[in-house]
Amino acid sequence: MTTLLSVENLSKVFTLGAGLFKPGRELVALHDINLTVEAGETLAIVGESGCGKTTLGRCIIKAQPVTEGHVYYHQEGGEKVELTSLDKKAIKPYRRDIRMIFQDPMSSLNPNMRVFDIVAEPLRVHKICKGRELEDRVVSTLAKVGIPADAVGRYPHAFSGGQRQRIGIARALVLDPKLVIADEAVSALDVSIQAQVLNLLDDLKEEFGLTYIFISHDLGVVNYIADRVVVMYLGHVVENAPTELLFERPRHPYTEMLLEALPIADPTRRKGRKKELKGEIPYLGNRPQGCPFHTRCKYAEDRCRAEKPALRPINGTAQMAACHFAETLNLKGAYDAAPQKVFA
Amino acid sequence: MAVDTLQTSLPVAVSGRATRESQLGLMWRRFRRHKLALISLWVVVLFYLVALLAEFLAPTDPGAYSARYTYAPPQGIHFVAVNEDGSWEFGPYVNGYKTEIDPVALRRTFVIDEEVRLPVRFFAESKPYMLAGVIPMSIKFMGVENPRDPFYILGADRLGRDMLSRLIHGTRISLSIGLVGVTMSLFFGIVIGGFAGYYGGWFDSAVMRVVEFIRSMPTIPLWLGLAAALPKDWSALQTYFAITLILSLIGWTELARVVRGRFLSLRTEDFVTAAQLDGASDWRIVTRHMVPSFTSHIIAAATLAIPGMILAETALSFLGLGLQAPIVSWGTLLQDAQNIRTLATAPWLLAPGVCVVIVILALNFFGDGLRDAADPHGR
Repeated sequence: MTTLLSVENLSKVFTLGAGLFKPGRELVALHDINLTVEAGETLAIVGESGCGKTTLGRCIIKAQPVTEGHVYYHQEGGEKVELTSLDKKAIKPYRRDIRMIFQDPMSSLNPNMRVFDIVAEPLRVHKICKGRELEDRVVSTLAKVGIPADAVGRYPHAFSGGQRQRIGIARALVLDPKLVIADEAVSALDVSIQAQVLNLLDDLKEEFGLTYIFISHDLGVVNYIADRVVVMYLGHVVENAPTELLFERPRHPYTEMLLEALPIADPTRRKGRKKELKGEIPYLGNRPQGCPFHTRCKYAEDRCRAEKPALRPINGTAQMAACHFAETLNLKGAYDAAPQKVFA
Repeated sequence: MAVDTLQTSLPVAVSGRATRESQLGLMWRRFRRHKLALISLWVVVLFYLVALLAEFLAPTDPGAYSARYTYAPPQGIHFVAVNEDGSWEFGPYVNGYKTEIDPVALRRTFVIDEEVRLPVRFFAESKPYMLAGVIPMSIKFMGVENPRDPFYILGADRLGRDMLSRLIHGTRISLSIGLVGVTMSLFFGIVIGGFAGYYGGWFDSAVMRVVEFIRSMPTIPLWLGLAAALPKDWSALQTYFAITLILSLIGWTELARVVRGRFLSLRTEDFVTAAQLDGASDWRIVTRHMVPSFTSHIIAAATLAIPGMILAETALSFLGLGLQAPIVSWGTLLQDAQNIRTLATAPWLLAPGVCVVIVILALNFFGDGLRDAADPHGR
């Protein structure tokens, strides 16, 4: 596998409430993020609300400027392009390769534009084609996501949530991208529609040879679609592992906590399981010393309160975790309670 | 596999007229349900038609005076005449005047003389004139057969000038000041408010503080001061534009606020982010993605701003600091109705005031209807 995108030491600091005469408070949303995305994989980024997963996605695609660090896009010839330092003009060609699918299909489509124009907009902006060719390309892309040709003249309000999300997917795919960042792409949809859209994303991935960064808070969905999972907590990457390994044997107490919170449909198996998720995610502007998770961690010791653990490979495997006791802790996986695939 | 099933499972029922209608089409349908607004729309259209066709509709020149008929009362127009022998005669006519001496005050007054009937002609030949300054015409909407006979449907003023003609010409000036002023305000408002809302930051703060400063000043003294500073020797047209500019100097602030607010809320919408991620230029994002989604709001806000302009012009001119005498506007016409004595003898001089009330009410109802129609979540 070749690396498609790498994020190095990425930090994002928001300044809040800065006025004319007072300096603002600083809020560290992303702290020293390192990760790579291999071509052809689906990388999931999970975490609770406010952990910085959406900000990470937006920083990668440069919808927001980063404070520090680099995002490298690896082109086919092996050339590395640093995206964060490019200005608006210079980044435009790479906007064709890296696309985004939004969470809320109600607000991500311009209510004043026809579906055809919405999907044609990227082609027009990049001056890729026009006239007959543009029409064909838009209609065929829409057909691939299941929107029939006779519906392209309608406005978004005439479509259901699932259909709108598919239109959003068509807009992302019409430029033939390499990497698609799906920010909570199915969270706003009904469960039945979620499955439909997930299947569609999977099929399109094969057809177009896509790579996904799939941002989600739903571990069930992640288990279903992802090859690798990055777990984030308070702007830190706390675990980064192949999906199977992570669900079977998490190496970070936070991951264990998330897995335990997964709903189990079977009441007999649910018995005897303790709810371990405790405490609130601390306020980002008031970050704890040492390990960011120690305030909620049941295994925390004095070392955790003083020293911040680094993200490191565990026992030489592909699994990486940021916990002092990753090797020694025996953490429960998702299948200990539910010995089968959680979703699907 | 999933793709195929999706395609067949898609409901085909989502067709028909309603689903294809544009935002403006939907807006018009909502607007039509608002009866008062719809009536007001026609009233407004009627007034603007009068303004447009002023020369054609006005029986005489607004400046044409006649020393013989000062303060002549309204003649009214009659369509059916009953002769002494009881037979009826059809055809429009006005009565002539006779003079009476008030035995107490020894003042000469005009009384309608029912004996004299002066036939009125519609689309009568007249001296050639230019309609709106461009189209040469020689037909008036109406006039008496003999141009030397008196024709004062709405009465005459101090100099024996026809009130109706002056009112019609005043309509043109007053209504156009509203339009031109709002257009100017709209231009400043959209450009300044748009920049502030789209880029935000210190420019936004600075602009908003300036707006607040301007709005905190009492308007009438400010207008008075600015209007008084206009050179006396400026031509009528120059004064007209100067006054409009003075009015829009205040007017743009409200519109800038509206525009800025819309920009601020739209800027964080996902579809705008999507357009940015498409690589679209700022100009394209603003013109293609943002402005179309609030044109309806802008139209409504602008409509609601017109009455303010008209009222301000009327007030300034009434106080003698706006437009000056040779220009006829509702405000300058009302100047003649400033003292109680004239009002007692010639109440018809208040006609411009009635026009102001009707137009302002109509514009407000119309604007309200537009605003409600533009905002689908408003009710």
